[in-house]
Amino acid sequence: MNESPQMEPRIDPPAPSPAMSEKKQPEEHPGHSKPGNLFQTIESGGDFTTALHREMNGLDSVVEIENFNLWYGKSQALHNVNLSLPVGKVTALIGPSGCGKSTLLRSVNRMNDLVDSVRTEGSMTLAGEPIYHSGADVIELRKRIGMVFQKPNPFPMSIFENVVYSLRIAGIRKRSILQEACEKSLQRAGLWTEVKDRLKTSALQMSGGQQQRLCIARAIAAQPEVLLLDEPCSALDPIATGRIEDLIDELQGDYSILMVTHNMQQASRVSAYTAFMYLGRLVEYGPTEGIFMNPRLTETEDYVTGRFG
Amino acid sequence: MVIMTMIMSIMVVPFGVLAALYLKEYAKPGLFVSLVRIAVNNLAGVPSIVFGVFGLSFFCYIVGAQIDEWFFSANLPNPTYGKGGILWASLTLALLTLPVVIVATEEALSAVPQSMREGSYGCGATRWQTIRRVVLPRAMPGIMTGMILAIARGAGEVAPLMLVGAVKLTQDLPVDLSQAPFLFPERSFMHLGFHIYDLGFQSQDSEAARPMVYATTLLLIAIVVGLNLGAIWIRARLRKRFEAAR
Repeated sequence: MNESPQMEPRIDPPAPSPAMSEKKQPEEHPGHSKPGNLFQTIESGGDFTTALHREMNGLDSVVEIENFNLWYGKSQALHNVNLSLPVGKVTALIGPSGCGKSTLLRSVNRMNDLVDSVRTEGSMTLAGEPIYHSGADVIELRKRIGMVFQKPNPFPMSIFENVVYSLRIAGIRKRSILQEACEKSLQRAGLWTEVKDRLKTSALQMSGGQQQRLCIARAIAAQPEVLLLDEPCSALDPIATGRIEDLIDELQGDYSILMVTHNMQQASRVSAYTAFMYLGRLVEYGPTEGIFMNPRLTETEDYVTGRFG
Repeated sequence: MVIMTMIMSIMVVPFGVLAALYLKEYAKPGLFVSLVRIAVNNLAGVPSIVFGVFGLSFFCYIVGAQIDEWFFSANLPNPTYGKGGILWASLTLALLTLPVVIVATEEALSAVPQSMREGSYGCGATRWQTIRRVVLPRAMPGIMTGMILAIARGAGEVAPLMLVGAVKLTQDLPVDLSQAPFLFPERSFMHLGFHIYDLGFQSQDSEAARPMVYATTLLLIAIVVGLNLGAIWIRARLRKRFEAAR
């Protein structure tokens, strides 16, 4: 799977829909290889506002990000990001490397706290409760937000212990509860039939795709409200990728999912909403179909069609 | 000697691991940590006889004398703990091998992938839970390597022991199963390495002593090899649990 996006939605340029014409409409005919002025504005640090599609208003959201800024030491990685994560849907973050997708994702469960030089400004809430607040319980927060990483990272222990890890650290000892949670999560992750006879063996002996599904099972074992997926398929082959995508599809509804992906086909296949980021700004945010078929900005169009980035 | 090495391992591993954990996981990198690290590395280069002198003056004459004063004042002026003994010898060796364990443990901790720690934090684990459940098990084979090196170094040491408890000839072993409490950490002991030195250089008839020197050396090497094999076997078992068919 390479980075070049599927061309079929873009064979003929879509007629601008009247619903979206109230703001910035590309004047030049989409199709020029040069990125638009907006990128230059961003690079020179000028003002700009996120092109927010109308459909995004009035949705129930689970995570609310407002005017969020983040610095690594002196360099600013996120600029005034405003994003609300709809409940029970898959939202994809796309954008060129280094645009702050992963940083934004890792800010949601405060994984960036592990980096000493990080400083943040602005607010983020999970179901109305502030995430960045001196009194906020980071441990409790992370239990409510499951996370799956780029590379599968099973712990050096048995499959069973891996899945029930978050329950174990919460202090649950009762065998029956652990076993039930283990079976449920593994079934949810589509792994139960493959591993039910070898739960006691080391998780490191599984294949890469299985390991990633195990990590998803681990992330959902504690029944989080939100799942963060940081390029969950980037280390996997197409078949394993397909299985993870099916799995993400099944998980939506029960979980609100925010995923980072470099693969635009993947974003268009699995997500309901897509956010396009560039140089730490959220450039355009809307329903996936709108972003891919009918983007409001030339810049977004150039990126999703592979002319840039 | 086996007992001494075991006491040494039991003493040195927790200390070394704790020190390495502090340096690696808790302390903020800076001048202090660098200084401690340099000091630890320098400690590894100190001649072992210096450790012997330190053991004698600190353990035997200060700590031991205190213990005597508090608990065995009936026996004074004959010292109980205030002289060379297997406990002090073990502690001296533990000090001697501490740098090896610290350095090896730090290496093992660095080798634990950051992604694994992040995974644990992402599940809502605290720092200590992450260290205990994920980092330490993963680093265990490396820590065992440090212990093997420490055993190899400690078991072959003679010089410091001459000062802190090894004697030419003694009737009583530090372990006596016929007598409660079976282990007598204050007793002096005979040491194979010291025995070799004694036979080879101090005896009247060195020609007659030569076969005994060879025999003793062989035995010493055999014991060191045995101890190491034991530790390697434990490490291999640990490895099998974590290593994967990648």
